[in-house]
Amino acid sequence: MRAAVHALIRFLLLVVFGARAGEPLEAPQAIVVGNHDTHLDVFLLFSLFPLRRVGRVRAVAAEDYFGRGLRGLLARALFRTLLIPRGSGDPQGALEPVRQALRRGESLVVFPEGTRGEPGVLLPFKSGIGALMEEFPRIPVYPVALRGVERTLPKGGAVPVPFVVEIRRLSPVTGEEMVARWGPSCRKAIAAELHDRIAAALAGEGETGPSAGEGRT
Amino acid sequence: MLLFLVGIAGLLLFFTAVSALLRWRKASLAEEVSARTETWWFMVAVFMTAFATHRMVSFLFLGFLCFSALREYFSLLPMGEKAGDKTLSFRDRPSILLAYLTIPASLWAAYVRWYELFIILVPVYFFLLAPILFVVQDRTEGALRSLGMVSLGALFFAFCLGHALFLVNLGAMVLFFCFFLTEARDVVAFWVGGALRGLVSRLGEGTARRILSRPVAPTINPRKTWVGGAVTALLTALLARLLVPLLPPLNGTPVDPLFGAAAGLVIGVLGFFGDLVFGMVKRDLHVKDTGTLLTGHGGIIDRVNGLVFTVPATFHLFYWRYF
Repeated sequence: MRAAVHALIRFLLLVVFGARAGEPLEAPQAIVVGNHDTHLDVFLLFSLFPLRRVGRVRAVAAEDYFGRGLRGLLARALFRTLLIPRGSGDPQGALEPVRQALRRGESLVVFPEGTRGEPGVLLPFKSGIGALMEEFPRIPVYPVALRGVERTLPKGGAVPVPFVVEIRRLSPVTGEEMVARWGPSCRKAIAAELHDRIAAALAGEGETGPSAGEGRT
Repeated sequence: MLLFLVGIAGLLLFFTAVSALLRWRKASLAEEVSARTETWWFMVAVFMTAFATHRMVSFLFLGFLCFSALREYFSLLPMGEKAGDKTLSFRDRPSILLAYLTIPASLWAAYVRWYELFIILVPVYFFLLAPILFVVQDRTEGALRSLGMVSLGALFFAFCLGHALFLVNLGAMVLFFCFFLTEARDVVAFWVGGALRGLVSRLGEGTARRILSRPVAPTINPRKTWVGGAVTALLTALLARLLVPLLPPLNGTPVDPLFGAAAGLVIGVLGFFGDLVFGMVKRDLHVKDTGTLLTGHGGIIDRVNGLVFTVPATFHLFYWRYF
């Protein structure tokens, strides 16, 4: 049932925004990390997973925003949200539900900026993602640059306006690789590295993603 | 008709095979031929749809084409807090949404065959509503620029290209006539250009060489020459004359071959400039081709740039003459 809804969503994303996910992620467990500008972002990142696995993917969301009401209900139904309290003062504790999900073998969709922010501006990544990668060093983490999406439904916008949206999936990293490079206790460095990779891709430099090479002259 | 369809199918399969071969051999022509072949497949699909199904199916197809082109145009323009020289503002989004909505409105007008409404939907209603929207948004700085950029998109891709809907109303074969000749013009231009360059390289320095290789707009596209364009237009007129027997009588009157050739000439000339016009737009925006700003998208504008010009002209020529 959830798969059918997601299939419909993907079709709509393709028709309205020209957004395509490319090859689905085959890894049994993965964390997908993206820039956050609109409410459409989570739909776009979910489209990277194969339909049959969509039930095992969970979106990490802010409890104060997605904890209640119709919004909370929809988020839970569609994305099986894991709620994190924002500004709780206990960063380790706040991530506990996320850790449990990872231990269960579930995949995650995470927005390390923590908020949508100004359209097109990439805020520094919170170090929680770094902490998770240190604790689970083998899980592949895919940084994804969502390009063009900030025009469709920026914060405060009411109706999504069609523009071309590109989902640029970058090559994966693991906690293992990061620790090998930066040494132990490198959560901030990991977060910064992910941030910089996505920033480069957003600016049009850096990696062009797996679907590149089809440009026409 | 059946023979004609088989002929087209055969031609297409031939081109697809050539394209695959070129790609396998990694020839430099591969891209160009590939893109053309894909466009031909698309065209045949449009034509078959128009011919074999209810008009509404063609309308949806063509409407989606207009939408894709318009969306690509708006996506090419950068967007910022304030409207800039060639930058949209976030506050332009409602007027952009309105621009998109002219497409379903046009679809409806085409469905009920209300041409008089279609003809003023974008140039009058949208064009006047957009600034009203801006006033309600209390815009001042950058209003002129935004209005210009948004209206231009609507006029090119909703209004001009949208005339294809009414070409369907005139008849599937008229639609085919226009699309086929526009695309054939591109193919012919390719060969004519090559032949001309070959000829020029064998001539010595002198006036003949200068005249033959004089480009129309060297900054935009140094490979498009006046002579090349003229020759291609004439060849397109000839091709059009050959296609006239395929056209059914329109409104009871058989199509005059000379008229057909004239229409072909118009298509030849306008198709030539279509490519240059959007080349100009891309240069102004410092974009190389409309598909690569956001990779893997497809470059719709690159494929319909001729049609934007030829479709409205073809429609009017046939409409005035026969309806």
